[in-house]
Amino acid sequence: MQLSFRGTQRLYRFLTAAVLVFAGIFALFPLVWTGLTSLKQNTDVITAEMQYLPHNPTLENYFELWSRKSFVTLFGNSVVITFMTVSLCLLVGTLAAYAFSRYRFTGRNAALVGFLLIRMFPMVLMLIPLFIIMRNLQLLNTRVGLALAYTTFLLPIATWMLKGFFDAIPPDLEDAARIDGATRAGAIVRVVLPLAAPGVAATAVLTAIAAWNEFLFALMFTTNEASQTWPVGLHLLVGEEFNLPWGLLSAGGMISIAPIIVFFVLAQKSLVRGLMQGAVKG
Amino acid sequence: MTATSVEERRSGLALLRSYWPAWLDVFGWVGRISETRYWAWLMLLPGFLLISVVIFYPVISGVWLSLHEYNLLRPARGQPFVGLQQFIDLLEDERFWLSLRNTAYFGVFNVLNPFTLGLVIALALKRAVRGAGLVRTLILMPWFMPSVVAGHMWALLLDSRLGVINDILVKLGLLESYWPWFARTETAMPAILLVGLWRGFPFFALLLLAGLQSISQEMYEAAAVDGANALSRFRHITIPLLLPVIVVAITLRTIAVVNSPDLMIILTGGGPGLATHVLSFYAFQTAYAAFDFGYAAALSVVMLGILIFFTLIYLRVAGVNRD
Amino acid sequence: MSKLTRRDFLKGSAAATAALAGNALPGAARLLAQDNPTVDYWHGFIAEFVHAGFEVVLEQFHQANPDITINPLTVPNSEFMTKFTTSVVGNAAPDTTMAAPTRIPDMVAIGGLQDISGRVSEAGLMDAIPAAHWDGATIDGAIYGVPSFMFVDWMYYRADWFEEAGLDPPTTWEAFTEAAIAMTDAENGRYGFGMRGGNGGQGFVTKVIEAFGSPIIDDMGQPAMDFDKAVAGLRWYTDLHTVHGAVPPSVANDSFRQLMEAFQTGQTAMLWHHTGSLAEMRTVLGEEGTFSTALRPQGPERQIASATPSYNGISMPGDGEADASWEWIKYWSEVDTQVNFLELTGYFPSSALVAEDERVQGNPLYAAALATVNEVGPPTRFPGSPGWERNVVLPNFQRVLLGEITPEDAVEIMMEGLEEAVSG
Repeated sequence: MQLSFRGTQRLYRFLTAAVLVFAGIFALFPLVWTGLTSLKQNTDVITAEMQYLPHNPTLENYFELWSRKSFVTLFGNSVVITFMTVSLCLLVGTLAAYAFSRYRFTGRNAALVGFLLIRMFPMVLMLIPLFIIMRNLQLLNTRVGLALAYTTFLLPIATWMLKGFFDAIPPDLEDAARIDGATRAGAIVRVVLPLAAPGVAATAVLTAIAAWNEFLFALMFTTNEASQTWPVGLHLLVGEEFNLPWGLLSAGGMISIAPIIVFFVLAQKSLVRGLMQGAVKG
Repeated sequence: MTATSVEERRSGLALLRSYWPAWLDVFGWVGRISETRYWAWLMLLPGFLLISVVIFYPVISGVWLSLHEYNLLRPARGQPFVGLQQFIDLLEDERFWLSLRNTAYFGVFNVLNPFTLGLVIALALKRAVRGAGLVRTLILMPWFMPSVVAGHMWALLLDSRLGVINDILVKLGLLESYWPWFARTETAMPAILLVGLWRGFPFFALLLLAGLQSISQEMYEAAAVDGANALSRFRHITIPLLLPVIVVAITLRTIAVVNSPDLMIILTGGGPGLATHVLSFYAFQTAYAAFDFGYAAALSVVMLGILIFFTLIYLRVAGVNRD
Repeated sequence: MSKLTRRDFLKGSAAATAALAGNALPGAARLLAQDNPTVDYWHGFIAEFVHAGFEVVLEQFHQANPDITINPLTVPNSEFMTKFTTSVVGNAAPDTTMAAPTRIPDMVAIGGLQDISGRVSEAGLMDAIPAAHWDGATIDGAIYGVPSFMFVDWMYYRADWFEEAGLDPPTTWEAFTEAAIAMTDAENGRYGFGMRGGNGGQGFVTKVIEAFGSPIIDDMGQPAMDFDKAVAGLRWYTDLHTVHGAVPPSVANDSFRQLMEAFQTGQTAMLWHHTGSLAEMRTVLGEEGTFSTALRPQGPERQIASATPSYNGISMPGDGEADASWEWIKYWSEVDTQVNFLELTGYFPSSALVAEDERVQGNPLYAAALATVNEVGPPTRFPGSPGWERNVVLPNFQRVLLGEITPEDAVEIMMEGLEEAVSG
């Protein structure tokens, strides 16, 4: 049976809406539950009878978490480290990704895999050597040290992702710009980056999330409480031989997604919308 | 794209961009160097420098360790060279084979499930219906949550006493009583895969959507004029142009999934029994519970080999299709 | 590891200049190195109420020793050995650290703890703390840690349910089975015993096996498990679930959190833990009536329990901070500190003098701990024991609970693994 054009369109619209509604529910349900839990006291979480909506809603968990002075420090550390990591990854990653995407040279594949090697090797065996390197460079307990450590581990991801996006841009466009007199560097800035803007934004978001949530390095490479990060603080809410403070942990989860939402809303507006529209239509 | 369009001038960023060439000409050397044959190497240099600082020593020491016996609890023995003995031991180690099987199971589904869901969502978002922008932000939230919170919240959601998912299933009549998802061999891994799907699909959705948005709309329009239906446009335009991004996303995800024991550590501890005992978890326990760093290194080298093998295959797939 | 801060350095050089000018007292140069030492301390005081108690001790120590600065670091229990090992191998271990007796043999083997026997006897600490409480930190006659508080194993039970059923809490393993069955009403989601089958359950298994007469290792540190007795113990324990159904079906993933929640929401009637959880239990279930404490049951050979002191040790050789480090860890063994900590956290003291204190003797909840503490020692430990218990005992215990293998199979695997762990 042949559907009419309009019928097909309607079917697609329905399918699209259905997929998005499902995705929204699946993505959000655990978060809604986290939000609800963050408004409960522990005695309202650990109950024989399930409490869907908190019977005694309270913001106590948020206040308590924030009143621990270390948490403000941890939050600040994480913001700074994440910012440094993303900047470094994008800058260095763009250069390398462009080279990988546009040039064919001996050992290119080997170098690409080599870039990823650092992520392929299990973390278990990296910890001690990395610790020694960090100690010798006097980078333990510093934000720069953690940002550098994160960068080395996220750079391969950033590079690979950016390379993927650069690959998707037809080289013809660049060639056209160069015929018009642009240098190769000029063509990258004027043609490639604008076209790859959604990809660059996506890379920035993923790098930011990874840096923001990193836990193991932050724990291993710090030895005083002032240099720890937010995920370490959250992790320390969960002991093995103590009641788990569900409300506090949930409040921590809600607080920790807040800045990324802000970042993403900003990135969405300025990067994705602005740049992309110009680029795609150009 | 060569001439700045009127539309482009409207956005501030585009305006800024129009000044860049002038700025670059002031430091014209960047442009000039970019025309030389050293340019590719210069672009690669910063990345290589950064990575080589941290990579050579750990990887070389890891490979070296895999050929030596090194148990931290037996300092008197030192670190004698044992050749391939530890790899031979691996072949006879039942737990290794079991972990390898679990890793394959976990790896395949924890990559394919989120990929499929992410692709479907990215395609839906690309159609930009009303509210798509909101959904686009919302579906990324699972990825934002720190894994310690996400892990424990899922443990709570699926808890056999306090779990709301159990409660809903019971109320719907799908379950007779609360089910201990993580305590049963048959449901422990599927439950972990559910958490993995939730954590993982935003990554694919974001990446694939970005890839889709880079595909020029004109190609679809041209194809539509030629009479290609939706399915053939998907097959002949979307998939080939998206392939580089797909390959990258799957490669990165595979590596992350195979190497990370996070979910197991928080949710099951490798159990019940050995039902969720994967290689990354095995290596971690061997090193930091049993302190047998030599054997842990051998396990790690095997994992490294597996990942390199798959990465090379992915690269080949990407390469063959493009050239 | 302590770093010389810029300020310390300036202060130091000012003093050095003064010394050179001939204005300083004799010996100033030697004192310089120890002027305002900073001592790192790694600990696991994670729960808010315990951490608050720790802060108080810290403050009091600072008042008593104004020139010593403590740099505390909370390390999650699950990552402690990872971080500690990395730091020791990386040659940057903390000056002092908290250490559990089960971990001390490993920590000593990797070269992470110093022999402090000399300082202990010099300070006369052996008299203040019962000899048995040093066992957990003594290896081949050398002492590696000073006891602070301790965790004494006991059992929580629902006093209201037992009263309703007209039963007394069980005192032997046989009675325990009967009570667990009697308290079980699976239809209504009630079970007799909250068994730890998830992470941490391994320690209970070895205690059961020992209580059934099979040692784990002998005095020479060689494997000494008795197959039949170990099987008997493991069978009795796992039968509670596989045969009697007196344990919640989630057993194989039930860790401390799940067990506490089960007990607190009225799913289970009995729960094995130690004195460390009393404060939280009181907060949730109230002071009187709902729950009470009792001795862990007797096995055929001995009680299924141990008394586990927490120790503080010195890990770095120290750059002039060794004396300050010692002051800090010694402080934890003092009577005042321990009484204080007991009042703040409910953590049981290790000092003999404190155990005789009215606040301990007069509280009926502590009766079970007082009766146990003199009967049992620290849990079994040897270099490699945490790894063996975690990687071999736990998963195979779980497989028995799941019905995948028999207790005989499991004990056989455990004995092979033990052989490997001790000499492999």
